[in-house]
Amino acid sequence: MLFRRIILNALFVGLLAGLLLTAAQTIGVTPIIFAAEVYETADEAPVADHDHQAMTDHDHESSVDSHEHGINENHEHGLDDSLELGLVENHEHGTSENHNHQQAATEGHSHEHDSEAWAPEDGAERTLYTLVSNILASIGFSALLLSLMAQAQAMGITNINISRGAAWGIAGFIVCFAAPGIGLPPEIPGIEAAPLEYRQEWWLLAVVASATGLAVLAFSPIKYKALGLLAIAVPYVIGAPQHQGPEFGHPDANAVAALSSLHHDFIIASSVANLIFWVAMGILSAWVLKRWVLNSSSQALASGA
Amino acid sequence: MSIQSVSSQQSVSRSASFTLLQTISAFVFGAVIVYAVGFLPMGAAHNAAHDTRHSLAFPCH
Repeated sequence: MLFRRIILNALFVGLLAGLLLTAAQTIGVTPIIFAAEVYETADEAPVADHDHQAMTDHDHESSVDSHEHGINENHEHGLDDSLELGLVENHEHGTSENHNHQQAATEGHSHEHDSEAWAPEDGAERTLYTLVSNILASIGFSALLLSLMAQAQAMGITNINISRGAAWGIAGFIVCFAAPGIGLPPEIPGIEAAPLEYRQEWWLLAVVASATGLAVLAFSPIKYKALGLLAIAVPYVIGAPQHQGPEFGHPDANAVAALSSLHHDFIIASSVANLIFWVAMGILSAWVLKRWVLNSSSQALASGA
Repeated sequence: MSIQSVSSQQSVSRSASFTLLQTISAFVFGAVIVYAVGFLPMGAAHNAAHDTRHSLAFPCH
């Protein structure tokens, strides 16, 4: 079954490409992220005991929340009295640290502080989660690539081989990295940017538009190729959401200079890592497509099954 | 002869739409995984995939 073969081969390609991405990233990219995070932490809380400070503030906020919540519910809904009393009492006396902590944990997702949610410990644990995330992302991208390649091949609009695979990989780099990156350059921690939802929507628009445009340029009759260029241009005509004001909110001018330099290095390093990743993805995907994905499906097609 | 060619055409078109169904399903599978790693707004998912999101230039923070 074609679906099953695409998924199994995406797991295989994703594992290899994810390991390669992690290697490229560890050499060039993550050191810059770590260097930028030093300024991010310094920006948020200049005191040494940053975590403790943040936790205390949050506990206070959430117990105020629970207090208000308890009062409202008491009046309007009349839910379980003992629970309400517990919350209110806890606020009044402020003695039970355990309870505050639980409250923070249960409300963690609704708060905007990322630092309150679970995060891997820096060091081996963080690297492990990055490796797993890289492999998962690679599996996803590989499934996208293989399904498009298999469909194009089944429709007879291309005949995949290794060098065309490399071209598909470069197209993947343009679609998923360069095209959105022109409007929204790769970000380092601590950078100021437009609201996340707008940037995510524009990212998706840039990816879909450039993928459509490249497909039209590559496979359509010549008279339609101008439409491909038009599709690629659309996101930039609309314009990427931009942050108004300075790029870095850090108060220290030296830190801003250092962050700007890190950002410049980051754009180059992440471009190189992504190009290596995508070309490898394209070549590997073409190879497994020829060898495993299409092999038995062409037999199945021939036998009419 | 003509009946045979019609039925073989039908079988080719049925098999072509079955192929399309499967490639679309695999595409959706890939898109869901990429969404989960790159876009899922949950704090823990963000923190676990943080460095991946930055490296692949997904919008982050």
